[in-house]
Amino acid sequence: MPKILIQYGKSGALRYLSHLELMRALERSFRRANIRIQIGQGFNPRPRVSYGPALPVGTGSLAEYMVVEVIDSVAEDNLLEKMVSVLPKGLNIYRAKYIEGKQGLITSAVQSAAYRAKVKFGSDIEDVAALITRLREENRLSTRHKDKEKWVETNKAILDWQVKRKNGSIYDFYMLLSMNDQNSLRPEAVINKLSEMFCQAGKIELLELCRIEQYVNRGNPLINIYDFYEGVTMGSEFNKS
Amino acid sequence: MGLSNMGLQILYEILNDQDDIVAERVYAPWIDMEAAMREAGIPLFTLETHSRVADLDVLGFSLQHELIYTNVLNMLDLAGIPIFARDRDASYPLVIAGGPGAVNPEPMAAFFDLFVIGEAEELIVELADIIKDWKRTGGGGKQELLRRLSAIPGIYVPSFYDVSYTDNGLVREIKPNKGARATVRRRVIKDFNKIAVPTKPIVPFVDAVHDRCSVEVMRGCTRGCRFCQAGIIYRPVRERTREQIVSGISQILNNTGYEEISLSSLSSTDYTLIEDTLKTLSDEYTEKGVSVSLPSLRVDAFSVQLVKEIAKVKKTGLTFAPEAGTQRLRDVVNKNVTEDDILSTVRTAFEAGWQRIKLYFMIGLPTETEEDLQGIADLAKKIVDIGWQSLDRLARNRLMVAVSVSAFAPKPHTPFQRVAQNTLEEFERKQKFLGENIRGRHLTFKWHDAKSAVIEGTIARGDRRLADVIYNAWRLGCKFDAWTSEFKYDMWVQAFSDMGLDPRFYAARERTFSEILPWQHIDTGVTAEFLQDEYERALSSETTEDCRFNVCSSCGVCTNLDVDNILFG
Repeated sequence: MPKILIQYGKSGALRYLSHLELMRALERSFRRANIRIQIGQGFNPRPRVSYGPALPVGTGSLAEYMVVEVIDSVAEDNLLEKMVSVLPKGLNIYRAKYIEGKQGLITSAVQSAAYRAKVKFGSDIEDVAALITRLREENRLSTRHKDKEKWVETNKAILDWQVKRKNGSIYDFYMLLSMNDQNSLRPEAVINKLSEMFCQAGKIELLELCRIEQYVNRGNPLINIYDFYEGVTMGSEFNKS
Repeated sequence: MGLSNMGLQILYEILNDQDDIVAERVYAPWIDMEAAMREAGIPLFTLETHSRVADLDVLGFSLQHELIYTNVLNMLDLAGIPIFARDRDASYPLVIAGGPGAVNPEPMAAFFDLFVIGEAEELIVELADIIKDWKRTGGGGKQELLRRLSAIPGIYVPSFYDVSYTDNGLVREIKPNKGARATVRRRVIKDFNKIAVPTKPIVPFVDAVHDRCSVEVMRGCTRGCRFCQAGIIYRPVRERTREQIVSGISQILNNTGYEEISLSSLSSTDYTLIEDTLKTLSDEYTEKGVSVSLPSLRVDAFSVQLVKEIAKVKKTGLTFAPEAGTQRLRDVVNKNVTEDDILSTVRTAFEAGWQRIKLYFMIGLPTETEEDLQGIADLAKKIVDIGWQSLDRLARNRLMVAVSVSAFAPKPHTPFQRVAQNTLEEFERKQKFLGENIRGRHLTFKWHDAKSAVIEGTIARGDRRLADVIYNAWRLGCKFDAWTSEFKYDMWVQAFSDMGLDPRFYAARERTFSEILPWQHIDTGVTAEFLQDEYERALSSETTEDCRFNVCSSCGVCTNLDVDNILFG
């Protein structure tokens, strides 16, 4: 069956969808668009769709990926057009291509992800820059997630970063974080830690968080998921649809 | 939770299809959300446009059962709307209600401006037209609006009726004032096929109850179970054509992308074209990964055969409702099901591969004795034995018969509307008895909280004086009474005693045939004679046949409401 890799995003109120809710909303959208997905075998047949790493509730994204096994090959443009007309506001599809599917699951391919955090704090860019440098030099950082404590090596967890002033005390804080290894770190954890260290100048307030890209490596040069999966041309198949 | 309500979906679509009407949804926020809203001073708002509920023209509630009544009060309060209708002038929304609870509107009469009795598909548009006209012409006060609305058949304006009581607390008289009709007759859609299948349901993102493509294949049920209110207040049986069902489903699936189809009604396997319809649907949708389900199964082999067809892969569990443990008591309640039916049905189910059977029973039915309770335990054990015989060695390990027992609350407009409900003590003694007797491998026993059934039964047959009790209960902190974790029985008891009323007067008292019932002025089309006759037949264990397939039982609905059963099979 043809496999198609799709880059999609979620924003606005739909940032608050859980991964399961997101899956259901997407799969229902495919049905509405009349794009038939292969149904699996077994006790509880599920559509053959594989997703990338789950996005935390409340985090938006410009670069989520899914691989869908479709029954009829539909031209990429046509698929985008059909899907965009049925997707709920806040879900978006950016691009799609047919792939061979020999390169494994997205969840295991992802090694790092870039985030943009819109933050508010009452100090200078230089202070924050110094702070992040300090954090990375501290080497080890304890984080807590769902009552589990974990130590990460900060310089391996925070691969790269950049802070840009937007206006007044609002900044865009970009960070490239490791995923899929023992040093994987959630962006909120970085902000929280910085906020703790920053206490003399008040808190760093996280206003909005967005995943902007996911990569299959951790540096130089970064290769994103979409480029990583080799595309195939479906050729004359499209003439049918 | 509220999203699955079919009635609301239907009206939502009818109203929004009108050019100049906008219908939006509002649900009771859960306790944490309510606390956050009150803390932040955010009044109740609609889901679609976040409009303040207090700014609406009309606020409608669906009264699905009595244990949501305190939620109505809480929502009005959260919306900043005075709770009692008498405190609201024309600057507030008109607060209205419908649904099964409206057939005894009296306990809630003080809070609503009007009730819709019966089916609202046609009525709601007539109501909206009058309100539009009233607004356009500059009104004339709320009384004038209510007067005009009360002319619509099926609309009940409680303030147009005065109720007086005897020294003993019985209803002496229900007297229309302001020229209102003596009785309000239930509205019924004569030809159900003229009402389009709602095809644009809201698709929620969150995991909601019954979040699926649901089409009402028919309305009404004439099986005639004597405890069942729905069996009375949705008469007669009106089927949809198969074409309408199939095309409705196709449109809904296109619009929603749902992965499950449900054929809903009070008893869908009674739909005369059910076999053909299921086959059509299953041929069309199974390979597309869309499953088909039937929400309620009759206890017969035919039903099991049907489900076997549609549940090709997944056989989780089957649920049946024998209701009572002995043939005598099943005849009393007119559940036209024999023990042979039950046993052969479960045998078919086990042989088809099901291993888990759930059985629903009621305790506290009229004339019930210990023998009937023992009958529940015996029947459950017989079913375990059949399972043991029918299943192979491996499947036997997973054999499970789950007995679920609820406490009977007599409902208005049923043949049992005058019987005494069991007291809490009686219910608990019976539950204890069953708990001791329904034991063993492959058996589980679950019971519904009898305390909430007693409060439900009390309010269900209450009169207007209960308004103060419900208000008081809400003030004491009662809400979400249908949720076991939130239900506060002691607060309800206090709410009654604070008002000098005894719950047992309403629930646990046998009423004579001459006693005026608080809901006497609500006319479902079923005659008092029929209900009395059915009750007397119940006492002598005489069954009454389904008028769909046998002789007319003379309930009065067809003649009084000028309707007929409509069947296609």
